[in-house]
Amino acid sequence: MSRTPYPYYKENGSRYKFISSGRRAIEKVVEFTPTTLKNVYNLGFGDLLPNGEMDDTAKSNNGDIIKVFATVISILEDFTETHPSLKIVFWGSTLERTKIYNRIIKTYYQSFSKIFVVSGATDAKGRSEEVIYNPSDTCFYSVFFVKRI
Amino acid sequence: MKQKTVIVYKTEFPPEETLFPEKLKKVNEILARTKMLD
Repeated sequence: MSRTPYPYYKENGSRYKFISSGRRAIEKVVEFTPTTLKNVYNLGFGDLLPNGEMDDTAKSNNGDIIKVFATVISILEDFTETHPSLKIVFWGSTLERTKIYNRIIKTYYQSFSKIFVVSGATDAKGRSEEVIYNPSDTCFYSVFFVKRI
Repeated sequence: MKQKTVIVYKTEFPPEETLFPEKLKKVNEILARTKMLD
């Protein structure tokens, strides 16, 4: 992504934080946690609420979505640089977010594919299969996977 | 005998807890029914 990301800081080896400074200041958290599959880590992303809880379904409408996603991608690059053998899975908590991820991957695939192998899975009749991402394909991916080349 | 001081930094990797437990639960459900490439 060409847009300059927000500065972020690493809270620990797997959790990052940054401030989205759009219409208002919102603290965002990006976290990588192991799944039940070996070497597959989930990317969690959400807003830190004033009560200390996380909200990964929030529709912030903060006017800086491109910059926020540029920051998440920058964090993803940092984490996978340290852990290149891990495959990262991400998907939207809401259908709307998953649609945004589909749009972002399609738009920025040229630059993603220079450092990541991008794959995705579609959910059909309760079964799912990972396939290498094809930007010219019109299919809708429920989840995405990226792994360092 | 000289004593050696060892400093252990807590890197929390792999993490022992998640801020997104529900999402992790759902992603594990998805992965369980996903045929992976490798």
